[in-house]
Amino acid sequence: MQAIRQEFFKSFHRLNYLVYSLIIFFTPILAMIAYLLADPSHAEVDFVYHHGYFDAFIFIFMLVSFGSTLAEEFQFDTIKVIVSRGNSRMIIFFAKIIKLLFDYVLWYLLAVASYLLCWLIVFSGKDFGKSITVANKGLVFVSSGHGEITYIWENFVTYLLYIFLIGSIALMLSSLLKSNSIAIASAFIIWLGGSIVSSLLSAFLYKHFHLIKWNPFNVSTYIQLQVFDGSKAMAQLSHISQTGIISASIIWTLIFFTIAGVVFNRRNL
Amino acid sequence: MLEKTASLLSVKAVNKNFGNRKVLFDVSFNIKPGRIVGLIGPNGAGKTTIMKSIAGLTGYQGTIEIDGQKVSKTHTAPLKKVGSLIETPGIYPYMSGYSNLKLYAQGTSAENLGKIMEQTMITEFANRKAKKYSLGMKQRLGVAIAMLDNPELIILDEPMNGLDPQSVHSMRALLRSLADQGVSVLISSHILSELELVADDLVVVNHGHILFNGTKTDFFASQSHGKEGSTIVLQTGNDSKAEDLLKTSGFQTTTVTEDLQVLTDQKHNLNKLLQQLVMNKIEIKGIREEKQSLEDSFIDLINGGEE
Repeated sequence: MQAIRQEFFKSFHRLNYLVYSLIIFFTPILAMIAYLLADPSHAEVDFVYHHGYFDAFIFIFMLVSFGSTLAEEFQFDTIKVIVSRGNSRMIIFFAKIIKLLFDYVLWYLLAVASYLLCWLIVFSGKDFGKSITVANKGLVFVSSGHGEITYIWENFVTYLLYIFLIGSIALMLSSLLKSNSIAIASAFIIWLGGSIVSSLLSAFLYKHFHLIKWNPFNVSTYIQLQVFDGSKAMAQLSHISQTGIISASIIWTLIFFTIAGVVFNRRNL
Repeated sequence: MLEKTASLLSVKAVNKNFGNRKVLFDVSFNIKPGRIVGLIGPNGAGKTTIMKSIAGLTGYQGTIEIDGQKVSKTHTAPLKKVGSLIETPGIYPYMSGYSNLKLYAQGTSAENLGKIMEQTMITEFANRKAKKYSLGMKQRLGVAIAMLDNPELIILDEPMNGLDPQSVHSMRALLRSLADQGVSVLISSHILSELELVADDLVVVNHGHILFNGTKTDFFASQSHGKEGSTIVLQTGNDSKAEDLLKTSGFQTTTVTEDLQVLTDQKHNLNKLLQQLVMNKIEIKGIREEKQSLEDSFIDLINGGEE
């Protein structure tokens, strides 16, 4: 409990944490204002169609948190104080994971609250709870036809899997390299370049070497898209079933967390 | 059993390698409650590695026990009795000094926090963000963190770094006060004159080997072997006459920065020296015994060990 208390104590004393939370909260509000200014008659449809961009910044802020949570302890030399005061390294590590999970839940709820408030208050919520089917708008990946609340819930789970998969890589790199900037930069490169690598591997290798389809680039690229894919087209691109891709993302996340934890536990400080 | 309870910290045959390079060789020493132990050695001697091993920060071969419980990188529970400041103070720069203390404190009341801040003289700036602190302020906050939760052993690696003379004086008084309350202190410092004033015991380490382990008194006694006496510094009405006279009488003399230095021993003692000067009517303007400092003794020991 002491390690978890310390994680929360640190966050609540950081200006960054407040700024990130405010940006996440105000993103749907700013999106709503932008749509209203652009075309008031279509503002609600556009706003709901894009889900008010409510989760736009969560990934970036979570990635920064993953990359810096361990690295800043090395950077400030605070890890020496924490460990030399009798705290177990594994408890410290798990406290950080729990705090990251809390951050995700908090920021997601904050974003959703802002999004729904805008929808209900400004747009009177006239289409609230209805199916928002957007297939006819040419976007496949949000075309499940589910109601918005279902979307928010499904997105919560798949976004969690996606963020924790990429985030665990950032955490592992920060544990290995003791540098938050390198870890965050590398994770962003993986995020941006993942689909390219995945496509290249797909073109050349998946047909001959089936095991390669399980690589984390492929899994991270398709995990979110595939869950919302009603036409199963994404499964054909990833070469992995929906259950398979969810399982693979969890397994890869656990592997990266384990490597990060073992390195952190054994590292000389 | 008596021996076990007598030592708060027990370091037994500790060895440490960095890759193929061995940096600690069978390091062993004990610290008893209420003792201030100065850990001294040249740069790269292994002082910080010893402290890190005790604090569970780095792996080692051998045994380190705190109050009879083994400590290692993966078994840090006994370290709840330990406070430490190793290398640089571990401080979150975006928080105030007070918040840093509150973050680390596990069982320290607000009243005790205030007391610790007063003792370490950080009250004045405790509410300012730590990123604005000078090196000396950070050092004092680092010591305050080490004092949290009533530790039985405090490990301080170069705590005097960046401190002004007044703070050094206060730090010395603070360490003595902690020791008087039964807290043991393991302290390393390059300012050997400060260690000489504050330490009860000394552990001298060089190239990873313990060269001396015992009380400060024993250390000076061990370093005066072969000298059998002391150096007397004289100021007379006629130094050149006095020097000639004393040389004729069998004394060893030298002149250092206009002072006449005379080495006394059992045969050529202070009594005989004074008699000679008085009998020959040489005016004595000043006389003092030059004691060997910790720094001199340390350098002698290190050089002797390397010869």
